[in-house]
Amino acid sequence: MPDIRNFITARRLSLSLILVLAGMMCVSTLIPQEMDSTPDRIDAWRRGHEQLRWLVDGLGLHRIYVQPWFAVTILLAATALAVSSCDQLAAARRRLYSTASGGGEELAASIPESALRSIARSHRYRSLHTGSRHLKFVRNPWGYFGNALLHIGMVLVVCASLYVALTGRQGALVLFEGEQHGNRQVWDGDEHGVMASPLTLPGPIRLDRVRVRFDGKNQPTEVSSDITIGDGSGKAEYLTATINRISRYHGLRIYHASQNGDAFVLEFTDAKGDTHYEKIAVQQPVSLTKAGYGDFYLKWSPHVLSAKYFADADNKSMSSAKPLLVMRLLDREEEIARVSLTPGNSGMLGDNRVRLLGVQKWAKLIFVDITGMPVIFAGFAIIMLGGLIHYMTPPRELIGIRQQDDHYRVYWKAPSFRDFFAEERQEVANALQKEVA
Amino acid sequence: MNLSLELYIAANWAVVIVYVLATIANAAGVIFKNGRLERTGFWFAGLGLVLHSIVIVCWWAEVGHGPYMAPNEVLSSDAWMIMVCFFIFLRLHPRIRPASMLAFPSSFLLLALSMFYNPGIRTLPATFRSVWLIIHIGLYKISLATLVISFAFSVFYLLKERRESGWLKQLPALETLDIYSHRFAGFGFIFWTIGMLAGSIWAHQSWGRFWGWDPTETWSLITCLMFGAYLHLRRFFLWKGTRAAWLFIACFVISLLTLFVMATLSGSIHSEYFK
Repeated sequence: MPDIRNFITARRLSLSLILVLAGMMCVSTLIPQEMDSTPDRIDAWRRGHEQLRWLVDGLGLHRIYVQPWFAVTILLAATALAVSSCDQLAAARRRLYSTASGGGEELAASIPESALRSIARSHRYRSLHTGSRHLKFVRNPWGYFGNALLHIGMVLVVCASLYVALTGRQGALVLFEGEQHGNRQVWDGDEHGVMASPLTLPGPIRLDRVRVRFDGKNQPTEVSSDITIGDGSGKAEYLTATINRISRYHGLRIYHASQNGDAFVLEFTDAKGDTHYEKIAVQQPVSLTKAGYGDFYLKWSPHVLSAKYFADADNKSMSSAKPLLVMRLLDREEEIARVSLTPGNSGMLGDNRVRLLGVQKWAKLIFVDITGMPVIFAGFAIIMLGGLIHYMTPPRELIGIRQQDDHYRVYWKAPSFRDFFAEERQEVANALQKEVA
Repeated sequence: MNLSLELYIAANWAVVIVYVLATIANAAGVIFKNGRLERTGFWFAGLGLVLHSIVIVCWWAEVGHGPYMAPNEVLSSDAWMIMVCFFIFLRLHPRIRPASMLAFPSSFLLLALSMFYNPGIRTLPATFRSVWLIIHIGLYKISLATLVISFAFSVFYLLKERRESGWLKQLPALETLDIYSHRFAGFGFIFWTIGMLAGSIWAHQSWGRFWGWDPTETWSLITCLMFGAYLHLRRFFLWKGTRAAWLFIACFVISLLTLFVMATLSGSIHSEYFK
């Protein structure tokens, strides 16, 4: 057991783990990851790095953060941190009660107790541990525990994050104003941890209204969506989801994503006379002069439909009922046709006649079911507290050793950053010397 | 008070000129051991900081958001924060005065660079209207400022160690330079870490996830780990002096890459806001 403990707490191990983790993260930003790259980008990278494929596939480097070896490294780091935190707590307690003046700098040879106490107090050194042979005063005694707290916070965050990653689940839905989403298991994007089943909505959900509030400069200041959500038994509840404000429903957290805007209902009539209906959801413009954009793949056309829209065709109001939609048909990246429409109008887009039938608001909502976040935030708070205590308020000690004449020989000591407190040390020394004189 | 774009650009260039004068006077004062010239440099720096603050406040009122959206606002506020932090730390620790040799030119270079980024009014998305944005960004800026001070001491250490003559003689002893570099690296590390955690809390509040391995997030964590390794080496492996100074400089370069390159080049959610 002592061997394992020594291995776990070895400083070389903790340093190696820090460097290995940093190295893995560097690799994850050099090799495209499945979680944030498109299949096309990954294929292009693989074609350009044929000689590295065996290594990338062997180690699963396109999905570094879900590899067992990554989890093992994190667990080893968390274990090392946990054991080291216990050691540091014990060391902090030892330092707090220690009266040894080893490494201390002698400031005065003979000072009466009352003078020493008075000088310590005036320099904000607190009396901590008094024995028959010594006096100990410490400035910022809590500083002993800073490093231990920093490490305890990290352990909490790593463990709770692991738990959240294993048990958390979420799903995203794009909803259109006035429409109900009835299928509880169909999402526009979802993910869940290996110990969790896919997320299911408690009941049907309907987007009643999307509200965007603008400031005097026509900039959106708040986006919120009123929704009606059922619990499966026929009861419905009305909720408002707002950007940057979490709503809760039966244990679920509901987030309003930044994606929202106008959805355009279009009727296409192609060269053969066939009619196709499409609804394209385009991102809300940020001002009157700027457009919102979106690219769309149409099942019945080999071309990409690239759309942008301005909030108001008359350039007057961000909440106008007459937005201007500009559509381009792209063959690869080359524009082959273009048309601009307002609601109710039609025009030609290449060989297709297109009519803008109507406009609907849309919004994306994210439903999250996770537990463990309070522990993560508690870990954050402890890290911040520990870090601030450790780096901002390191302790300094003033130790008096009783001499035969009942006066005290005084030592000053800073366990870390000694030279940084040279002025303070000098001030205390001057005060003591004045007393001696 | 309304500030037109032309006036904003002109005012920023005026501040750059004042900072340049501060840099020249301060450097000349240090190199030629002329205390009066050095003090003049500090007066210019103070004047530049006051003007810079006025420009930032007026532009804030004009565009309706703080200096954190357009690249020119980001760089300008970084320059401002370096100056502010330098003066605050100077008041608390007068021995950091020589760091002005790097703090002043860093500020004018950042501010001058900001003027090449097409100053214009950028819209603040609704997701950015959170107090966590200010905490998140503000802490990174304070971290950068403290890292610049630490960088100055690392550079001074390496210069003084190689050749202790001329103006380098006026710098504090090598041990003091080393301990100051260490101390400010610690400040930088903790502000960086808290800034990252604040971003994580904000991400949880906005997107329902506290960490997404976004490239900018990942590089921020890499930087944090590298500074952690540096502090570990100093504390437990007793690294100091030359190799500690070089290691800090390497970590500082990584932090600059994270702040100014990764957030703009990578396919990161952060890059959307810095284009």
